[in-house]
Amino acid sequence: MTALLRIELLKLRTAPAAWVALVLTALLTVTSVFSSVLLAGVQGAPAVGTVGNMSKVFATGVVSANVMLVLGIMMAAGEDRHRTILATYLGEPHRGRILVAKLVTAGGLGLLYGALTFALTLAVAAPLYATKGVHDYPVSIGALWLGTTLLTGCFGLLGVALGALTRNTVGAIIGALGWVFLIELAILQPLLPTVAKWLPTGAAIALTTPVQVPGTNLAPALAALVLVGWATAVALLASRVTLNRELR
Amino acid sequence: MPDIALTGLTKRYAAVTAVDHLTTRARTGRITAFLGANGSGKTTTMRLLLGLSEPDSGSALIGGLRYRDLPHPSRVVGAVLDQGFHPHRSARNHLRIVAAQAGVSQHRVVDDVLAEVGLAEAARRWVGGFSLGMRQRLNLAAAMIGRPENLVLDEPFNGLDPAGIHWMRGYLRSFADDGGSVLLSSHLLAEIAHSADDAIIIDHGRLVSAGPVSSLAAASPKTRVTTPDRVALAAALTRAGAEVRPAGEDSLLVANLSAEEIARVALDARLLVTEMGAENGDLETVFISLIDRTEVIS
Repeated sequence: MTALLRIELLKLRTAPAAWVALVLTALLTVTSVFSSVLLAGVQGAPAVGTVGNMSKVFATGVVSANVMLVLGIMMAAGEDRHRTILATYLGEPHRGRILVAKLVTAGGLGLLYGALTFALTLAVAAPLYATKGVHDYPVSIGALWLGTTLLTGCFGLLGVALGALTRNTVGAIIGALGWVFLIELAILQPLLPTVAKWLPTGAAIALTTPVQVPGTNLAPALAALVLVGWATAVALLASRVTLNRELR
Repeated sequence: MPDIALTGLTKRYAAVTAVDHLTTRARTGRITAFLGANGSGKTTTMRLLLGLSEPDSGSALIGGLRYRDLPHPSRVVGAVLDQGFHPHRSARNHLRIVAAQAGVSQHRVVDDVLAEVGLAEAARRWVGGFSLGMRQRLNLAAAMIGRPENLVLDEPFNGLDPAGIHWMRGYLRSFADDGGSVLLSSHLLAEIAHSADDAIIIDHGRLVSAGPVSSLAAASPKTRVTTPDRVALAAALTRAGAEVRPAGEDSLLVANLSAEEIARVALDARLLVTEMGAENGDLETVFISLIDRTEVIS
């Protein structure tokens, strides 16, 4: 399994997608932090240093998680798209081991990616807040850091599982982002919040927001369990389908 | 060196039987051509052999083991099917991944194999910019990276220019002469006649014939008949029990009748024959007569 993990990392290192994702995440994170701090208090935005302001500044888990979701999809479905899956299965005929290697790689990378993204957020935000005279943070940085890390790891798992299920990179990316931003955030969150909080994005929000709204958000620990549960369930489904399906 | 042995191999897709109780063998130190029309089951058979698909019954074994049970499958069998490439990955990095999958130490082997297939200078280029012939060479390099004893190649001559075909032929011959076994499918029957030692012919997933290419060709003597009345003569010969197929605009290849019998049929039908001569069956003739489906030759 160690060899398979190394191979998955080698695949990521030798294709542009992971590097593009890394640069994109860094750019979006820095831009988001700058705009949220510098435009605080402007046109009705929460004042700088408030819980509302910090909710926006430290919400960079949205970026890292969705980038990792897309990267996970590309790790799995990309092999079918480019037909490299044949070489992969010729090298390791036991398909279950390949899927596990991809899941572990994406999950582990997601954890690292989430932690680093939050670290970058903090590294950019702290001096900016200092210039604004904000030295005390009214939110739990540790909890948000942990939440962002776990969220990004779980979205990496979900990405690989969805990619393995669909074997269609574009379709899976559109479907996954459509589910997150349209179905959950735009429709279910405002209309059915008691249902939406149990879904992956609902759990993600609970993990990365410092403002817990009873009845709308799950407690962070429960949200973590729900998110891990979703990732595990979709991964098991992907495993079952992958093992019993004919190659194209 | 392990033989490749197929025993009662059967694979069905819904109502279609792609491979039907196929039993045959590819021997070590030989180049064995796997021939059949489009959809005859060649690629499915190769996928079954390589563990990419599960048979409904029967077995496909390499040295007595299923592909998936081989300790290091890529070191025993190198395969070229329709593998693809990440277009934005270099040839060297592609092979580094394949080498890691085969469990071989990477850098030197990768560069050696790239040089063997003539791609050393293209090692750092993205594969997306490769020609079809270069991709075929890269696929062969990937197959060779584990230094296997067997090669399983699906249409390896596709996309190669004449120089590439000549190179591939020499490469495979050298591999077989060193004791390796090669199982390859191809539509280029003239090329197969040059390259292969043995041929396995299948149709509708069933074994039609198997044996040395030389004996297959010699076993099917024909008479080439030239006539300005090709259609009428073909009809007359068919009625007389001959096996007839067109060979050019004004010629027929006729089997199952002697030259004298052909001449008598033409005379009785008052049809002019301008030339007649014996012709040993080439592989294409044998193939067509065996599967009786002339429309499939590409």
